[in-house]
Amino acid sequence: MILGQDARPAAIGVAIGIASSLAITRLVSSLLFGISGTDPLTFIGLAVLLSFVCASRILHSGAPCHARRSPDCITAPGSPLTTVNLSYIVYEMSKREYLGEFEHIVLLAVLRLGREAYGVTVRQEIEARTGREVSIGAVYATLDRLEAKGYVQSRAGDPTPQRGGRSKRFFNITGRGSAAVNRTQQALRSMIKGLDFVARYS
Amino acid sequence: MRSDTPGLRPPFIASRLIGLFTSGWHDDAISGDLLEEFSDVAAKSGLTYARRWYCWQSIKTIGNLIGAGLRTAPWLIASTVIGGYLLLAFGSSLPESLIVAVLQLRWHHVIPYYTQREMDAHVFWLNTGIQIGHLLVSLFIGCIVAAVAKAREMIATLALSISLLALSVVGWCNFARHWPERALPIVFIELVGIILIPMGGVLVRELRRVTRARRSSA
Repeated sequence: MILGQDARPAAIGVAIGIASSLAITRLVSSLLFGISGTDPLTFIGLAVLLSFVCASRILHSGAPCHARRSPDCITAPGSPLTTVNLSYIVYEMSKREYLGEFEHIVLLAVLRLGREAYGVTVRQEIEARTGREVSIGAVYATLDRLEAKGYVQSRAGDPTPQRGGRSKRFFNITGRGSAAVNRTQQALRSMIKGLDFVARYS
Repeated sequence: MRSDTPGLRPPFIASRLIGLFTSGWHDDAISGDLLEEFSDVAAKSGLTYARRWYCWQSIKTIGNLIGAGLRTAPWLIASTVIGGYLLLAFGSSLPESLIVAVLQLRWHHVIPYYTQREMDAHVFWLNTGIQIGHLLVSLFIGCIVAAVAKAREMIATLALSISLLALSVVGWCNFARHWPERALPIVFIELVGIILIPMGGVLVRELRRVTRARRSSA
């Protein structure tokens, strides 16, 4: 439906373009060799190509959807899951960058530990709270990814003899990281809401 | 690597292996974290358990680091693997050509072979010399791949080694079906060649580590 609304001007434009081209070909037909001025394959091919460009532009821009219908309307219960709606939802999700499950857990551990968040404490916090055994490599691989996304910042600590003279790497969450945690929490809450999850599955 | 308690040391091979897969601040952070936890585990559960814990953590950490390396630089790893494979395809015939050319030169233009000893030397170079040359080429190509892969020396050379092993296994099975009596020595030599590729990675890695240490101490 959204595509239909937004594609109407594009369809009108293509129709006007074809009509104008048919008129102009009379003027340039003497300059063409090996092809007629009204070659149907060329006309249909160009019309399909232009329509495809318009459709992809509408799907990827998102602006017309914002202008006419809110994203909540598309994702609301009862809203039909059409191809266009699905594309829009996937596009919006990629733009918002939701956290993966382990990324979420690691960020929450960093939040809990505050200024004392480094590899050992993050790993122990996760193990203590989730009962899930994780390696230090998994923690650092995730923290690296989060740092690349701008969700955490790191700083070097002082070397200690207990660590063989090696320094710690402390992590703290950034504003973007907090926003990502909130967004993911909100998404999880809204997905769980009304499911009677605890009673049914525990 | 050592901890503050005398005699309380993590397994040497495991700690060296971790060092091969980490670089920059990761090296300090990961190795230091493992050592710190190793001391705590040893104090709570004993040295034997702590050493076993350290080995298991090292294996899992190396797995994670390889996965992270492949995810963060897939094109670099893929291109180094393809480049290494092409180098091997072109370079594997070099030792044979070189040795044969030198032997031919000696046979025809310098001194003809008169004694059994000279003939034995000729045969030695044609058999063992070429095989040693193949192994040296594998090691050298491992070094080149590692040098190109920069901080991911071990991941790139391991990826090349594993992909070669997968390809070779098919060839070995086919070869063993037709010439079962000759398969074992050929498989052995090729397997050593495949193992020498990551060894090239280790060489480059250690060379870089020593250079970095010298620079920082200077």
